Amino acid sequence: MKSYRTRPGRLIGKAILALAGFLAVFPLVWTALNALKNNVDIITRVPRVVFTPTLANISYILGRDSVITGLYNSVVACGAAVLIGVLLGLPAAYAVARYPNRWAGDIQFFVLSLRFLPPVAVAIPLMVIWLQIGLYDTLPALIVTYSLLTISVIMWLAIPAFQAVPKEIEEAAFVDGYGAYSVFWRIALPVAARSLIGAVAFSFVLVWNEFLIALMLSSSNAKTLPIVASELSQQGMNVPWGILNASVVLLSLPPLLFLGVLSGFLNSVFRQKKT
Amino acid sequence: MSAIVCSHVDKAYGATSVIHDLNLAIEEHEFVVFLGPSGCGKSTLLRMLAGLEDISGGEVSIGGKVVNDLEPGDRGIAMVFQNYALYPHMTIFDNIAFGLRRQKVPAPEIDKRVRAVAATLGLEPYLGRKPTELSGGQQQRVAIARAMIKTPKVFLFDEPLSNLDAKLRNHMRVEIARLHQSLKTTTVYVTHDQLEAMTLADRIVLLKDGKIEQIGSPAEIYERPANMFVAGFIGTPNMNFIDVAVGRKDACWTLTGAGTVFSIDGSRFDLQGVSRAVLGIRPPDLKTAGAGEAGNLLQGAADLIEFHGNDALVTFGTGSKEISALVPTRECPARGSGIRYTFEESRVHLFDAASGVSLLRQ
Repeated sequence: MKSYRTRPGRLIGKAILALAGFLAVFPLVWTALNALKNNVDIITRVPRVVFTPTLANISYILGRDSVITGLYNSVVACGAAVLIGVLLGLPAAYAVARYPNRWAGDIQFFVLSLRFLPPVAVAIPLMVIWLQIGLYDTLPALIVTYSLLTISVIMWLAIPAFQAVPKEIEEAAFVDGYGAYSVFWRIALPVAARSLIGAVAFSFVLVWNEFLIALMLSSSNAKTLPIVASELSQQGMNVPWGILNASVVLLSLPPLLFLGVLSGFLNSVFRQKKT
Repeated sequence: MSAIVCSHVDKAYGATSVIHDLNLAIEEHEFVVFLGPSGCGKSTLLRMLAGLEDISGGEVSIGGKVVNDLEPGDRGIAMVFQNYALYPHMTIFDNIAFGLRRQKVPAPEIDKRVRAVAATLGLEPYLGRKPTELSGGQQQRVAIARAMIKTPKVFLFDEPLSNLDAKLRNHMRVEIARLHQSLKTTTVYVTHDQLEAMTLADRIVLLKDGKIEQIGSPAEIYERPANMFVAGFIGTPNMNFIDVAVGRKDACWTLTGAGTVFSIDGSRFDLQGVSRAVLGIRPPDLKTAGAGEAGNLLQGAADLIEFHGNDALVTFGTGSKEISALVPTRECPARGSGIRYTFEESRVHLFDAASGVSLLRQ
């Protein structure tokens, strides 16, 4: 009786889930398909699922120097910023989580407050600062600016992750003779790794997709991929949809690869033995 | 030489004093249990011995060396935690070997020693597994193995059995006792379970509010409790307390309370100048009185009867007081029937009514 009564609810639940999944995945699929279409196939009234694929859009994208430079800039700027965020943010988060002093609460709030401000508010001062220093439109300027974002995001997400590590486990390691740094490295990091990797991936996606600050801090040399991709649509009345879609695909690949590598690493570390 | 000496040890968190002027010497090879209600500071004291809590004042020495400022790893101790605290990302082998790796013990020797310890504790089949794949009892055994392998000067146990179910707890208790018999390592064991304390300890340190109430062998603490707190804390079912007025009649002392006048010879007690006292008698020490017996009677109607198996706990009211008696089941009265219980004077405890201190002569 009971299962009969719960069945409609489950059906509705599954339907909602399927709809949500479809809404999330379909635009991606459609974008990928459009990247392989000629413009004629894209702007028809009736959407075409069956068409003659072409690699013209993709080869056009990959053939342009500005795209390759943008890709290079994005990878270097985001990679370096995430690396700095990990190197500085994780130890800082651990210190706040495990050795809180009377400023620990303020530090946490300050870190979060970095994300309160609309990027516009900081973009203009940052632009002036980098102009004054003479590093405007360079990768170092972008890396340092992005590091502020990655450090704050990683810290904010890693503090609770470290707090969730049972204290006794670390104490057991102290009793086993290890010092504070070894305990961080050999116990806290691996135990919290699952949540930490989420934090790192999130910070990467955040700066990878970042548009406004990159727009303000670059004029020609240090343009990142989102800027370059947006410029592709500014070529007069005739919007090259296929090329745009291809650039979006290119833009989405690195974060996916990054996540794939990270989760693969995670699975290898935490592979459960079959009992 | 004593293995552990605490002299004038204090612990305070800000203005709150947790442990105050505590003095204690633990002998080599001794099994000492810190026992007390929760919040009495027993775990804090243990963690101070381990070096996981700062010592606010006084001195702690282990093996003749003052360890106040030594890191936990340099104190020659090993600790077993209540929730096992195994490293979840390591195999059982690595968990046990972790401490030795720190000491730069060569790999073949680590392997040999881990296997030896694992064999002692029956952990060999699990060495390749992760902690989450083991049951609670097995995890606790791994925690013990991890402590054992370092051959420490002192074992510290922080309520190691309280996360296990009752049956497993009994089993592990026996294992710990056996382990101590074979290793003879000085052991400090914290628990709130008096059964664990009574069965394991060479000496019990009974703590309350950061102060030592009594130190003694389990028998001493049970037979000669130093004050009412100890008397009430140790022994299940709890000791009966009856407020009495002390008087003198001929060669005897009279104790008047609970609607009765008890008469005792009183030579064991220091009753001079005491007017009000508390009489303590343990439930198993109450015996069904024969028809002819007239002295030291507790009478009433059986109110509540709890069947324990061999024994039954009979609760009855006498005067305004609830008294419990543990009697053999075959002597168990029917509920509501009248009962008469008596006791031998040698089983009586007397405490000063004001201070609660035992009036027993030293």
